[in-house]
Amino acid sequence: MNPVATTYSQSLGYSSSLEHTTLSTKGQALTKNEEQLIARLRKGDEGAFDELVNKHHGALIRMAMGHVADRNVAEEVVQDTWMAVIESLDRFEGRSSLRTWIFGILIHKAKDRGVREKRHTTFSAFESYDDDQGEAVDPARFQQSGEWAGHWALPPQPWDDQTPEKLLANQQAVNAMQRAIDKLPPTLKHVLILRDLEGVESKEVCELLKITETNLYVRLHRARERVRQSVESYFEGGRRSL
Amino acid sequence: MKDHPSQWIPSGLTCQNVADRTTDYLDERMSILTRARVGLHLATCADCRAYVKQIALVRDAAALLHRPLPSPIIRLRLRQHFAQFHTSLQ
Repeated sequence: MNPVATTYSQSLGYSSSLEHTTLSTKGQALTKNEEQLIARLRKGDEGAFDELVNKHHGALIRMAMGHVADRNVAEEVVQDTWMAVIESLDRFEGRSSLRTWIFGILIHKAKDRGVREKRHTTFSAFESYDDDQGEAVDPARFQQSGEWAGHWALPPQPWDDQTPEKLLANQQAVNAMQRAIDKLPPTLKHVLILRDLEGVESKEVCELLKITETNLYVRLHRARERVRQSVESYFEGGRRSL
Repeated sequence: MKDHPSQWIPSGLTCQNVADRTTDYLDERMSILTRARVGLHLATCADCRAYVKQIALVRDAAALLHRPLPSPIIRLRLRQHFAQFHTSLQ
């Protein structure tokens, strides 16, 4: 078993004791900025809350979509997550970063909602290692025998002069990326969102998803490859139509 | 002339080996020796260079993707809950 989320109280980042705790020496996982943000939140600073919502809301929606098929349900799950954050903030001990804590709550709630709706995933399906098996890149793209076995049979065509900014200026390429991310199974989607979209350090991702670093990078490469394939298909379609 | 995995710089790796470990290469999760072998392979294989570049591009573009914000109604609801919860604590 490799549970992706922990128990609810663990996902909330506090022990069963509900006594009020302030950020203490345990709060080593917090950066100075996070400590300041938490202090403002605890004082009821609405600007700080807006800042937090703006920063993470989009990624939380994408993560929730891995468990529930409907965007509206994902919005509800994320709203519930924010409510839990508001109500539990005083008990947050700072044993993980604020971001890890918030995503932990989301994962727990999204899984719970997904299972209740009997849609998409169940715990057993979610925790499957299927997405860690096999090759990341389709073996059919490589020569299977002969002198050049293992070398490209169908090599990627260069995407000339592309930069991230140029790619993002192309709405259809962006749509291809978004569709590919939306279609990823939760195991791959979570690592891609946390690592590449949110920029969470790999150690923190492993801690949150309860996976090893090896698992993380296997999944991350699979996720990136699927998004790459989607963009490739879009560019290839463009070439064929010329 | 098109590059091809070289016979005169034996990295000992195939394109499939390199493609499967591209994220490890980009995120620097390799021993120095393996990294050097991948570097040797890339020096002579334009197809693998294109592949590595594409994965890096996808990674970097993902970081810049638009982040949806909550609708005004949801934002208002959240702000109200935040304010009410803090008022109730005082």
